[in-house]
Amino acid sequence: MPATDVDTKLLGKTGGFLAACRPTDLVYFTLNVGDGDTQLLLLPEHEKGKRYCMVVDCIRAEKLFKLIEDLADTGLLGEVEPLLALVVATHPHDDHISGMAALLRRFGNEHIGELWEPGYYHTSGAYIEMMRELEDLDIGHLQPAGGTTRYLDQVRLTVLAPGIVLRNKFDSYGVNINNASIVLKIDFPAARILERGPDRTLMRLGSTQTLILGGDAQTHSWGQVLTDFPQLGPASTAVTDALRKSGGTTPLDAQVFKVPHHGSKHGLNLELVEAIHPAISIVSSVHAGGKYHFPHDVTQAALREAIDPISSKPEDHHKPDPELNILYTASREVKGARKPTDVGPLGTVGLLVGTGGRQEIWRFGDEPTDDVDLSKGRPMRPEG
Amino acid sequence: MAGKGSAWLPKRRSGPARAKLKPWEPPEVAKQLARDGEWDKVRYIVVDELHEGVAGLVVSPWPRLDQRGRLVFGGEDESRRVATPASVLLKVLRQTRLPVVRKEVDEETAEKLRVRRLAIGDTFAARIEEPPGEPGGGGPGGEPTEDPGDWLKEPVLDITADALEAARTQMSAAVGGVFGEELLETIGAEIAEEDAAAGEEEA
Repeated sequence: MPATDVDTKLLGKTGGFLAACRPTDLVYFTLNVGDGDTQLLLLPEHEKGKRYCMVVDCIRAEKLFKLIEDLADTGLLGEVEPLLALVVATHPHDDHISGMAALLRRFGNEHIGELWEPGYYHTSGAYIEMMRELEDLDIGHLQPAGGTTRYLDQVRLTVLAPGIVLRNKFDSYGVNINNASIVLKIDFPAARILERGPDRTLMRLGSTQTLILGGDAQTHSWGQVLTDFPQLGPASTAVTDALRKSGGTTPLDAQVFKVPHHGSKHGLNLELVEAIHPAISIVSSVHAGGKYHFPHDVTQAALREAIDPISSKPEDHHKPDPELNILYTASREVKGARKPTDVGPLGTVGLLVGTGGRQEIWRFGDEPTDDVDLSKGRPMRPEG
Repeated sequence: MAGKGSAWLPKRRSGPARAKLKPWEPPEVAKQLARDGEWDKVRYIVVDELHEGVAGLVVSPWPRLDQRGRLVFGGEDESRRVATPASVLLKVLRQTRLPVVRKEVDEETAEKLRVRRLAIGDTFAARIEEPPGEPGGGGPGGEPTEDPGDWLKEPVLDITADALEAARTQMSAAVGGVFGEELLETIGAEIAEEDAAAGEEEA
């Protein structure tokens, strides 16, 4: 059975996705669009029935439009303005922005708060179309670099890449277009102040969850991220304890890791995944190879080893990917252990990320050219 | 069909109607590829990705110009994605490539431009009867077996310089806006004033 495939036993019954979404959840979709990226994040409700959204990259725009319409029809997205508080075009590759012009045109001034793109210009029609649509809009626009921080209600966004050194090299052939990728870190909930009448308390939230969305950043870019965002352990002394200082920072720890560049071997290395140590990793790619044969074996090996280290125990074997929560939009559902038979695509990944540390994985069974049918969502329950 | 709950969402809006717009006409492309005015047969080809010897190409309709002189390519389904071995593409280009640059270059530079290696962002204009590849967003899923020699016929104009200029112009206009003649005159007058003052100081 290919490592990307998932045994039927790990999947729950169809239905119940909408009921499982709590108002306080951040809902994250990695759409199955083939070799490319379209991501939709529904931020937690900021008032009853109302959520802002983020879109990170957009291809097959019609698939995204239909999902947003269905989410609104079901009441999960109440009327709010702007609906898309932030749209991010991570970098100008066609497989990340071919639908961006249509998205900007449809949602326009009223329903797009800001557009972020890295400022790396490209000759493709998709890039020029996107920038022409942006010219016609009166919305916020930013070309962020590493360290940029933005709060959207209870969600904190930190740009990890491109680092400023890469950013300053854009106007040359010196920077690979993939390394122009905006890498986003999303911390939630970011709100830390409890207010009770005139009393305010700085909360120490143990359950903050973090998502890192890797764009197509490659190891050159990640190398700078590891320098710019050092992991600092706590300094626990009597003095620091008394001052409640020096708790340390682990800025790259994340529960959810959107694996860079569709699982390319240039998208990550072992140390990076060890620093992130994700509970859930998501790879967006086509099934059975595609033109670049993503995901690459060496990338999968690094993910497995960082999450489930066995190198010093050669007699051991890694658990299967589904049990390590390494998820692929290209996964197929298979039945039977000896002679597995194909049941169908697992498709789009939906994650419910709760305030209390909960993570629920849902799969929607769509092919890249299918719409996402919310009623067909099935929970995925890793064993072990 | 969207239901009632989504009625508040903005409706889909179509892009500029390309058929009503005039084509972008860089002089050399017009001379070499569209003397008969059949711009619909000319394609805009971009090297979008280079990965381990595979070139990911995007083949788009030849752009048109809107009323403000901006390039219009059409929706994502109007472009096609092609994967091809980079070495094969380069071999074909060695036979067919005609570099287009605005400045005069000597023969040695012209030859270097003709045989230079591929880079992401390289852009070509060529006349293609039946565009190859798959329509729709995202990368193609198939093996990179397309032989560009089957569809990329001489002459293939290397318009990278013009395309980069067009992309940079569009980015600058989008993020910084454009100015009209009135402001241009004001800026010109200010520059003239400062030049005159500097001249007086030097004197």
